Amino acid sequence: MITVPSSYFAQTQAPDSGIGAFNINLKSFLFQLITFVIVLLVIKRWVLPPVQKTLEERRQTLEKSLIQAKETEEALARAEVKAEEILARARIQADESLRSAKKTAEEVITGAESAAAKRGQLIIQEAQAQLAQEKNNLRLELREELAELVADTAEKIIRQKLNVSSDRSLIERTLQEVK
Amino acid sequence: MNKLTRRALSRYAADQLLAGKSANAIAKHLAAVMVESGSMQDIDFLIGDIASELEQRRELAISRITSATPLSSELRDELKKRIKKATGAKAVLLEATVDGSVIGGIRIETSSRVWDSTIVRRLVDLREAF
Repeated sequence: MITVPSSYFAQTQAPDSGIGAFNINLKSFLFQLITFVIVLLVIKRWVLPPVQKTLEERRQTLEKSLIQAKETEEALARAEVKAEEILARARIQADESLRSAKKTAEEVITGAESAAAKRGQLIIQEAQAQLAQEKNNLRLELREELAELVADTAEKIIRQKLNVSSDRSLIERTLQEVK
Repeated sequence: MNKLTRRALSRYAADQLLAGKSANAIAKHLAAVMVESGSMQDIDFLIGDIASELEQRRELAISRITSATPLSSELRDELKKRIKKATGAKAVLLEATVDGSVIGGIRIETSSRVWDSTIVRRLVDLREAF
């Protein structure tokens, strides 16, 4: 147990006037004030700067994060706009390609139809020409056979009918032609 | 030695014949020339050329006659007369042939002309007319 000499209290006892009227021990107050100031200085000198630094770094990190977030948001927006543009262009190109393909297909179909029609016409013409040729050949064959038949028949009839007298008559007529 | 042409030979033969040389001697001479020149295969053509040469000179007309039946002497005389008039030759020599395949009519052939009125010729014409 700490014992304080009575003399101490006797010497430090505050008078009833001035600050002593508030029942504050001046010495204790000064001691506590100095202690507080020292603590304050110590805090200001060694504690506060790191805390401030940390807070500043956090604030900067936060600001940076906010800026980055904003940039990211803007980049995202730009990317969305770009994507929309790309999609629009792609749609236009797809439509154009589709139209072109459709046109090409129509041209191919038209060309094929035209070629088929020409080919068909050609086949018909060839068939008609061949038919005409065959018809002509048959007509010639028929004429030859008819000529052969007529000549054979005439020969048989002449052989039967021709006698010395008619032969002489024929020879005499020939002699008339010798000029 | 230059090779004699068939035309030159035929002229030579005609000259010799008209000069009254022997036909046998001329024939031997021609045969020798043709054997030497290696053109014996042309002998038929040479005879034709000689006949043609004689006809062109209006000396002799050699006529080949083809009929289905033999010609009477009357017809032969008439034929000679007609050929003489047609060719202008002084003499006519007939080489008559009987060929049943002509059926009827007559074929008269000199070295430059032909008259054909045989039945077989007319049948051929009939076939060709179609």
